[in-house]
Amino acid sequence: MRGELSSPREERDACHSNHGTLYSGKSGAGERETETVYTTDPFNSIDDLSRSTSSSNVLELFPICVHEDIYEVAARARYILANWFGSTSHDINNIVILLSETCSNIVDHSGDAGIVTIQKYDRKRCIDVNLAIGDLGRGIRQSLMAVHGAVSDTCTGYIEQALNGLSARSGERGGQGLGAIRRIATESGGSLHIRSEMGSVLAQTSGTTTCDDLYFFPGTQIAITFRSKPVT
Amino acid sequence: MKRFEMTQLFALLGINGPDLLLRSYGQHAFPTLEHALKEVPPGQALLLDFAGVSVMDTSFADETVLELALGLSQDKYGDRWMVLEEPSPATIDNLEGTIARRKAKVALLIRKEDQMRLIGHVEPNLMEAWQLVYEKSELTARELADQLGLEINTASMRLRKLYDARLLARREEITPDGRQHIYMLPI
Repeated sequence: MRGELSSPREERDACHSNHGTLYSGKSGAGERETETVYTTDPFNSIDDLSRSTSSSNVLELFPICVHEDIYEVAARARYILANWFGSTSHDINNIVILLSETCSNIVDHSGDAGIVTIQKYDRKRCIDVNLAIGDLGRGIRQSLMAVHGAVSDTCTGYIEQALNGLSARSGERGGQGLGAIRRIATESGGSLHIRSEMGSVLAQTSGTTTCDDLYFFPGTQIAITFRSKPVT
Repeated sequence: MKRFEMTQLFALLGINGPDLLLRSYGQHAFPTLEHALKEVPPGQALLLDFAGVSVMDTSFADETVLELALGLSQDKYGDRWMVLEEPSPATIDNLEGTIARRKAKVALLIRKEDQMRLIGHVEPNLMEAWQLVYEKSELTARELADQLGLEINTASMRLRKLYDARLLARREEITPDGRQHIYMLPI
């Protein structure tokens, strides 16, 4: 793809520089909240997030700006997951799919950059892998409205439409990502929690819970729990 | 039969592998795969070898494999077939999910450890006919009708549908009773 798209690396560098409001700066911790939460300084993922690019323990906050970032995060995740799971490659493959599908929604639909992180929790009978993916972009409601007009009265309604296959892409293709994410997460015994603007939908094996009176928060934030069970 | 190693796409797409992800990358890969299919001599199959590919996600699959399968079933590529060899279980899940969510009336031939099977949308009576052909290696409409207790026209229609969907190949034979088609798997 390199050379075919318009310099993904340059796009990402520009993206990192232009989206300073996405992350909290480390300096000025004692200043007023509005000055400490947001910064317009150029983004340096290693220094600002104290990231170790060679860590095999955890995928720390990883910025997603262009498609190339998704391949990079998938490769890093594979390295870390192999350390966690050893040879249970089917779980690793499923988690890579979760990453790919969620992060591609950021690049394709949010109109903004995003951030992803992964953590592992050892339970008694399983390992929970938690993925958190977020952006401050246009959100699911606005993305769908731009293509389909008003199709629901609530933010939750738009999230559910997206889960059921309504795509923010014009034409018949697309709209499969969130459905695939829900299937993989819930079939593992885990969950998918989507929050966008004032609505949230929590999908679990036992069913779906919705909430539509949350405080407004821009963009889309997704929390996924993937449950990996030891091979018996 | 012509083999295309899917790992060749890594260099084309400028990625390290082992995954094939994202719609835009699938769109970029599609012309190469379509060219490979068109280069297969008529009457033969393109074998897409997934060795070395850990995961093909739904978006990539939608833009490549599903698009080729739809083209085959619409007779866009003539008398050619496509077989997917050794896709990972996660890739198969994604292919099935892609077909189901897009509500595409299309099925794919999968070869795994020398066993063939179908995934995707296949009506039960067609699946039954396909399975019989697979077990017998070759089958005529008359033989299928006898096996399943069907009218010859019904048996012939089922085999014809499987051929049109490029899930079976066939050759023509002239017998003292006239002309008949013998159906078989494409590889």
